[in-house]
Amino acid sequence: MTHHNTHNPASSGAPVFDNTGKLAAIIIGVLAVVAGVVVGTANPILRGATSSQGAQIDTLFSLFLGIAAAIFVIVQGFLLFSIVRFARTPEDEGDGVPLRGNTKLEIFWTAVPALIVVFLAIYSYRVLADIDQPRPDQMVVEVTGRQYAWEFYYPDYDIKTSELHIPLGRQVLLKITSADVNHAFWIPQMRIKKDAMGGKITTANITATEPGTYPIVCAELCGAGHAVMRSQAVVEAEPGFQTWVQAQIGAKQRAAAAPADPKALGRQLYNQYGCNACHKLADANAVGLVGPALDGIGSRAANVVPGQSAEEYIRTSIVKPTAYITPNYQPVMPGDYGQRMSEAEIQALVQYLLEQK
Amino acid sequence: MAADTVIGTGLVRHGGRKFSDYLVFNTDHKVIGIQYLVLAFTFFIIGGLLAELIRAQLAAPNNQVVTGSQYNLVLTLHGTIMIFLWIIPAFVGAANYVVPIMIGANDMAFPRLNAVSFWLLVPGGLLMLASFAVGGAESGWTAYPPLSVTTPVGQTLWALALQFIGFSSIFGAINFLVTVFNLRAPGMSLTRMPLLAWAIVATSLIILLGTPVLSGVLLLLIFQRLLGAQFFTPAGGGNPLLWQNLFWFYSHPAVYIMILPGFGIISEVLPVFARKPIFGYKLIAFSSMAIAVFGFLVWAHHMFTSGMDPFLRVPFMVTSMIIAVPTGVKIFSWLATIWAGKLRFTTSMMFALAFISMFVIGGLSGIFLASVPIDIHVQDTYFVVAHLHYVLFGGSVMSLFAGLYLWYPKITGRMLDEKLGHLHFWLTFMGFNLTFFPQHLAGLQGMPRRVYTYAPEFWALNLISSLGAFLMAIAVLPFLYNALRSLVAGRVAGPNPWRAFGLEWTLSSPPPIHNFPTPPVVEGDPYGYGERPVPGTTVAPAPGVAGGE
Amino acid sequence: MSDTTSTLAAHGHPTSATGLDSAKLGMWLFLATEVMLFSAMIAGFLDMRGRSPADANHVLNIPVTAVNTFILICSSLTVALSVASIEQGNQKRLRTFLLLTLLFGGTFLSVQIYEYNALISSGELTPWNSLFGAGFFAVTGLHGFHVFIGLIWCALTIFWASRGKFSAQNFMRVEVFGLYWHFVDVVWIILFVLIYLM
Repeated sequence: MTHHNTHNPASSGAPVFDNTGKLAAIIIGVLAVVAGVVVGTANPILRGATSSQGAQIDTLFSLFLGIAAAIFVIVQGFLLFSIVRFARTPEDEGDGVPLRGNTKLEIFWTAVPALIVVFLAIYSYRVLADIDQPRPDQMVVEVTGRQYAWEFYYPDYDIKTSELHIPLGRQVLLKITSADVNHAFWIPQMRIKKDAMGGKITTANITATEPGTYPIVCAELCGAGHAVMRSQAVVEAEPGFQTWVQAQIGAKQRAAAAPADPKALGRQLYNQYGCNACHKLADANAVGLVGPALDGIGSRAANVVPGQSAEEYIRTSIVKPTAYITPNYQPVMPGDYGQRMSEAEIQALVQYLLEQK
Repeated sequence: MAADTVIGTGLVRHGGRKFSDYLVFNTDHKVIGIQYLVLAFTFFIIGGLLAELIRAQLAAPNNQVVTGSQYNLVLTLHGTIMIFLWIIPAFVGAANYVVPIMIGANDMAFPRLNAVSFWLLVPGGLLMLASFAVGGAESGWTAYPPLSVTTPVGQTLWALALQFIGFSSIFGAINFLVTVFNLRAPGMSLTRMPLLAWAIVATSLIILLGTPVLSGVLLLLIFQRLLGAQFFTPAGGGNPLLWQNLFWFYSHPAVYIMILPGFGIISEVLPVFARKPIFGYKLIAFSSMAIAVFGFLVWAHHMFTSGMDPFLRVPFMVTSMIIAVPTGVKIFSWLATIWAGKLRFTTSMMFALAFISMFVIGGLSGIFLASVPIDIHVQDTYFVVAHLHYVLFGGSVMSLFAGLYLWYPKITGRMLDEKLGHLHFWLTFMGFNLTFFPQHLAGLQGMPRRVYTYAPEFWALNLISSLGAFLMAIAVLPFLYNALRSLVAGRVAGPNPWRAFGLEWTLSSPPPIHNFPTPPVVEGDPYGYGERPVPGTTVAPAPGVAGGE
Repeated sequence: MSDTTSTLAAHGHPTSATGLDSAKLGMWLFLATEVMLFSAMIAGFLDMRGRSPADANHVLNIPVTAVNTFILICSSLTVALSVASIEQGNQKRLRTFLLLTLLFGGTFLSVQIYEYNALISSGELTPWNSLFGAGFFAVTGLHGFHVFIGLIWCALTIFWASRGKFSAQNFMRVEVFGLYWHFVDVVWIILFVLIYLM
């Protein structure tokens, strides 16, 4: 019928897998193993995770990286060798050797990758099971994402903050949700990420292993301010963490204890309506990084927009944030504060901010 | 079936003789193929300009080229246009032209439906451009609700545009399947069929079963936006994960729609320029079908961090890893195809070889993404952006160019200039790697995706990436110039400039309007290099084989 | 090898490599896409129903819809009979049964529209006031749209029949229409069971 499958060019002496080819295969194989081991153990790309879950992910990544490096060398190696070795000489208009298949080889390169991926899947499963393992001394922190800030509530202490503080070495169970659209809570250096969705609670465990301050980034497109929706995770040893907790409790008590004091009222509103999540203000214990810092805003407000008094500027900034955008910032502040706050509250807040000189 | 006029002057014609034939409802698959390719390339330029805008904004942190809201519109339209109005129509166009001829048919099974499929892309494309002009489609090409429920009206136009495009796709798939099953020439059994035909069958099956689900979920979104139905918003009791599941049920197989035709093209290009039969024909054909099936079983790997049932992540991880195996089989078969060949480095061949190199990188990064713990870190970061561009540009687009450089002489009757082709290739290759390789690192180091600005520590990587993108834009110019100039000034090609097997090379360049005057009789597959003479030539013997076979 | 002999019309019925008629194969493939489309809509409906009270469908008029379902099934019978008629070359019966199909189908759609109107204007069930309503109107609305397209197609088929386009040797278009209509009927039966009876 047809000529293929019965015609074995190798047996007629055609140079299919000659000495050069065999040598190349051996060299490529050795290079692949070396590359795999070196890249896999060195892993210059993902190291230094600051959580125990992250450390396990980095190790898993090293394994994948080593195997990927080996496969990369094999494929690119054979490709480059073929390009060099089998380039046709300019006068040669002939055909190559009519190799149509080799059953053993085809089984080999189906079975070996299959075994590799099964191995990787099993290993990944074990890491996954380990990461998700709860520990008995877990502390719960409730995380809420909203356009465009993160809020943290500690049920154990009844405090609400715009920065995540966690104690070194203790497992924290994050219970994450959203007040509006989908967000994703990601601490890159700890290698944890979980989507924040309205109407449900998603969870993630972290156990910090390294003191420091680590960025928290939103990883799900959530609107115009997605890129600037950031916060920080601060990891301290247990004593430092407790000091911080006490400071938060103290601030909250002071705010509650003197409601007649307009300054305290202003401070309370500043935090209640989430200004603290985006605007740094030392007086209100606010550390938000998304929008301009408001320390000293009282001194500046009169000079921002020509013809606008300090009071007018501050008020407009609250109820119509897009009227003037501070240079280097984006128009992402929610525009509905005018509806959400009562007139009395707006006036109290404006007065409070005017005092920040 | 009504009688079709061969030459026409009205709005319904068959055959491409003069320029106006290409502007009307033309039922000739060769005309339709060119119409698809021209539309696709137009959107390639538009989508590419949007990409340049993205990279201009990201060339430095806190850049002010566009606002956050505008940036989200640009990235949404970039992704949507590149997927639905560039790469898929481009492959469909190339396949439309070539596949019927390759199997010895005189046209597709349903020529008028074929024309309808093309013309549906016109309102689809216009609606998509309208959506961009009006603004509002700012939730990414993935359009996750609740965000996509409250975005302005352009989001609805975007969804409607996709409905038109989806119908085009579905009708095309039905057409390809019936054509390949029923219109093969006598003697062309399924195991003698060119591998591009197998690839198109697999692609069409995916389109058939997947695209309607996209249509359904878009309908639900439109229903919600227009009538207030609370399918997807938690505030109303609805379920955002309903969108994610239905959307990805289509959109994951969609990526195989975008690569399988490319795999088919590579299987056609390599034998021609290595002068060797394809290695492992049956396994390659089988792997295409395996990818089509498995492609429907992996979708939730896009949802690993979504709060989906924790246990269900595991089976999806397993299927997502297993799907690497049939793809790996193809890579190794292609490497074996060029082994002991006589490689001729035409532009087509260079794109095909670069495809193997680049697609492997994209495939390997995919394996990282399949592992749930690793995905937890890299999901929704620039690591994903790097991965998807390595497979979609390094893979799909490069394979498309390999095919275009191969079949351009057949379509136009002229040869492309090889020097300009090499220039196009090298600029593309360098620009592409400069643009996307650094993005792996940016993602791993903490840069999320879909952001108009970033922390200063990512500046260097982003600047390199933006410079690479600029190079990619320049790279297109020699190709456009070459393609247009060669139409009039290229060397005359003749029927078989590459001395290739395959039925398309037995016809004149360009082919007669009705392709084959008498149905060809097929006695072997189109990979007989080293075994039998190319029809119409004297055989060049393989080394060590006595005489000509 | 003149142009006229090589026109598409002459190649209008090429020998099929599989032996299956192309138009019929094409319709079966199209119906496969419709199965996937309705599967997606049904999945959406089931999710919405799962988030609704168990008695959410009590507001629906089951007896009327049951009769309406029967009417639709009758229309499937008449379309099958129309195909059988033309298979035997009976043009008059072909048109009669197609007209009956149109009548039954039109009745079904009219009753559906009446029910929709009753539900929405009374506020008992709307797409926007309940999740069950959202799912209900989406999936049955899509089905109703398919019935509507089918009625137009039926009318066209009657028109072609009256122009003498069909014979005992050439009635593929009637068969293909029949396949579509049967599918629309089967989908309705599934929806009726899922939505009204469960």
